[in-house]
Amino acid sequence: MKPTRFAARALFAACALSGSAMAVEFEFSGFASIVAGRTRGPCTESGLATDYSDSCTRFVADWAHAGVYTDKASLKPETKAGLQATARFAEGFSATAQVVGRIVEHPAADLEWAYVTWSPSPSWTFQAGRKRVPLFFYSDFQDVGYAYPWVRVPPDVYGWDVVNFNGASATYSANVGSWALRSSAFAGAETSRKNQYAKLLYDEGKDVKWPKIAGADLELSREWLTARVVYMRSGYEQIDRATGEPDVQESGDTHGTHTAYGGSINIDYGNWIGRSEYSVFDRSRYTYKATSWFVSAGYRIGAFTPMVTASSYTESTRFPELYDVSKWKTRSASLRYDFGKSQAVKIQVDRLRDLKAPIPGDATLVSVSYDVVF
Amino acid sequence: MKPIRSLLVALAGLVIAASAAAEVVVVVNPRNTLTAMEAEQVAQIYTGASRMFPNGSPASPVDQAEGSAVREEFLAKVVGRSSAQIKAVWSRLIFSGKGSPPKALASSAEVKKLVATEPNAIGFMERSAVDDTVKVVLTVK
Repeated sequence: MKPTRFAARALFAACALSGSAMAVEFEFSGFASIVAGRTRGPCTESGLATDYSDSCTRFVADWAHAGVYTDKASLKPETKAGLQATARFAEGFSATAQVVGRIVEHPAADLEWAYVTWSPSPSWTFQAGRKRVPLFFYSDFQDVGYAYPWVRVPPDVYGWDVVNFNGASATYSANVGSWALRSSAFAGAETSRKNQYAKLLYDEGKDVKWPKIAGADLELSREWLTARVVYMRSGYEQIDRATGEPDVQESGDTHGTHTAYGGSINIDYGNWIGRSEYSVFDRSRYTYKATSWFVSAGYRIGAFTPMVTASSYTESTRFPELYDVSKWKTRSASLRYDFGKSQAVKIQVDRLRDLKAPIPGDATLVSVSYDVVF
Repeated sequence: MKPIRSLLVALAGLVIAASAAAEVVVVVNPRNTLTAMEAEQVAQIYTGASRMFPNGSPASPVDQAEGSAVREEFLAKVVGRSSAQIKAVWSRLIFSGKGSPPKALASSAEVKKLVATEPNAIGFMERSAVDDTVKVVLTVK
């Protein structure tokens, strides 16, 4: 398309926006999860920050939002609700905002998504604004409990410091033989103030910066199989809020780049369900490298979906004198029950074994959830 | 007619009626160049995996009311997913800005009316609801 024609279309969309309210179509949707849980087991040592180490046992259910269960039953770590509004204009233009409220956060509600979309054809979609970093298969919709079989996406894999970013993406969809293909490229940056992930590990407040985010993913699906690969790199810097100075990494550097890559294979074969993901986060040049994975299998029996899941998180480092590596593994059993038009209840038991320098410590978590989309 | 024979005829009639009700067809606009589709190609459109017909032209699917017999048949036999699974799949696309689910129309008559007028439309209905204003590209029993 010629630039002038594009400009004309953009202008047309802007006119539609300001002039004729009739041309704009609004869509509202939402989701909510009420989740309760408590940990059990003999008391274990904690490697988390002081605020998260009072309890005899603890379980980090949501690293990115500092959602941590303790040996007292609580709704706080994971209960959330989201509302999304989309305004559709003419010519494939739309604007979307999503607000997510969590008990664990202050302030309690946050504009987590706000982006404009231009889809000039079924093959191409361009988006710009605030979005989720599509690092993992479930990243884009990890808040929508209704959309997956467990109470939560496995935290051993889905545990990173930055989840949203400001930037742009281009997505291409096509049919290749009998495969449906979807590929996207994305770029942007994020500064996460009072970073919640860092709050789990440090008593001092930290800001985390991921400048120059660039990455791409490719998803292929056919009949019972969906496979995805992703690669991303960005700058990395952690700043102490009290001093305003960047933290010095084990290599002596104050900032660097990191890469993340991984893949997932999902299977829906008749009543059988398989979910798996593998991910590498490489900050090895200045501190550590983390490898994580999960494998999950289940079988649908009417409205019930029992699943068993194994997952693990392992670090390695070139600076063993300066950095204590972590390693733990988790085994889970979960049961989902679907009812009504779009509601589900789930119960899940997770058993984590911390194998090196303790971070969360050994624990067993029992949790129940109610999920709905509307 | 002997009572037993008439009973058999009535039973046969019931079986035929039941199988006729269970027959679901996928329809497109008569101007669409496609003559046939595979169940998998239809499933990809209804699960948001594809936004195009196999020939590359844009596809705008229409749905039927949740819980309706024809939709249950269509999901079971063509898409191969339950209503809850479909909802979960679309939840992903809705809340990540990758798509919005097909609009549900109240009846096969409404689906037929829309598919007959919209060149890119694709819908499903009972075989008995079809007439020459739409083109059948897939029949499942």
